[in-house]
Amino acid sequence: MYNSLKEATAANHQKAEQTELVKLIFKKEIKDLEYSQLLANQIVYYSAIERNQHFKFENDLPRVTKIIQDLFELSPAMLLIMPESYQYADYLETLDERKLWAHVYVHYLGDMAGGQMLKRCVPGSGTRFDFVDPAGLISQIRMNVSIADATEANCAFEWTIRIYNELYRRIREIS
Amino acid sequence: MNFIDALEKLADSYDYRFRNVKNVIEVPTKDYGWTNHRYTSPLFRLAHVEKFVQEKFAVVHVCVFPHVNDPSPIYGFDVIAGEQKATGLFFDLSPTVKPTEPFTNLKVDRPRERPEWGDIFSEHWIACRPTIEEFYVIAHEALLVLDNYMLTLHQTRANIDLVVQGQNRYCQQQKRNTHTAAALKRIIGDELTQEFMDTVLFPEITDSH
Repeated sequence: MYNSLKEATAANHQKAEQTELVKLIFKKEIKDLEYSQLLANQIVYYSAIERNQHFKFENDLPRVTKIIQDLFELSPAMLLIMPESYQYADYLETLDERKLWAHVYVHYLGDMAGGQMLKRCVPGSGTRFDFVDPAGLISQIRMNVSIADATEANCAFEWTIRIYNELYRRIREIS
Repeated sequence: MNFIDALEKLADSYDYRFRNVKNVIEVPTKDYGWTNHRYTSPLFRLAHVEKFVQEKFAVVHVCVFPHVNDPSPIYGFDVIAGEQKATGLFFDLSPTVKPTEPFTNLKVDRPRERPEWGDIFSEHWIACRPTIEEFYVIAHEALLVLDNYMLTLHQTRANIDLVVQGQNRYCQQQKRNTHTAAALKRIIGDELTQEFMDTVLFPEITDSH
């Protein structure tokens, strides 16, 4: 039995961090074009979360505009949006507020918790990792999730891993 | 980034896309004092990216005309902005011979009214005065729509006369936009404005066979 959501998702969290794409980021070896493709795909599913009618974001939690801004800064390239990203977005649109918080926990908390380190690893300014009050937002997210959301949070990790792996495969194919 | 920087990036993104189309040829274009790149390719008859950037004012105009036997709509994207504020953003896939299918789920705040000459636009057109945040979202969507649009070009055939008629009507109506003419006249004068509109911005097809 797990005592916290963090514990219950630790295995998948670790798997996500060990994907080739994330390793490339941590090694500061991801190229502008490759990172642009990641941003373009993230826009698809972050948008699905942020436009969900059951969900009202507070403060500066919404990230889509900032991700697009980062994308604009980097690359004029043609964007490779993968079917997996659209499938994940479609899935997110079916969720109620409760389940959606589990996906916010995985993606947005990740942006905040690891944000300052990631900002130094990715190309460009990485404005998507800038939050006015990260501590406040982190506690807001934590208040809205519990161990009961483990299945959905693990589902968010599984989608992420799938998208990262597929994207890595495709960008390797291109380069 | 402010609007001016963002518009520069956007114009480069468009230009990159057209420049990288297979077998593309750049169409020689007279220098009017700002950037106008035009291309032709097996995919489209004419694609135009206009980038007019001053310190505190910028315009990006993008137009893609399909080939004369292609019933695809005309892709159009325009944005006019100062450093901190956009005056207008217009985005459409304008029909020539058949109604345009919905091309985006975006909903915009503060929509602008359709001008009297604007019956050439589809019912799905987007016209607004966006904030910088809204601009990023719409511009990104417009690029994605372009990427999809390019995949659909030249896949079906239509009667050439009807397509030419539709594309020419689009150009004729666009040339009735007094705002465009007035802005250009202040920069290049009456004569060159007419020439620019007739030969670069909205050239009508006079011989299609």
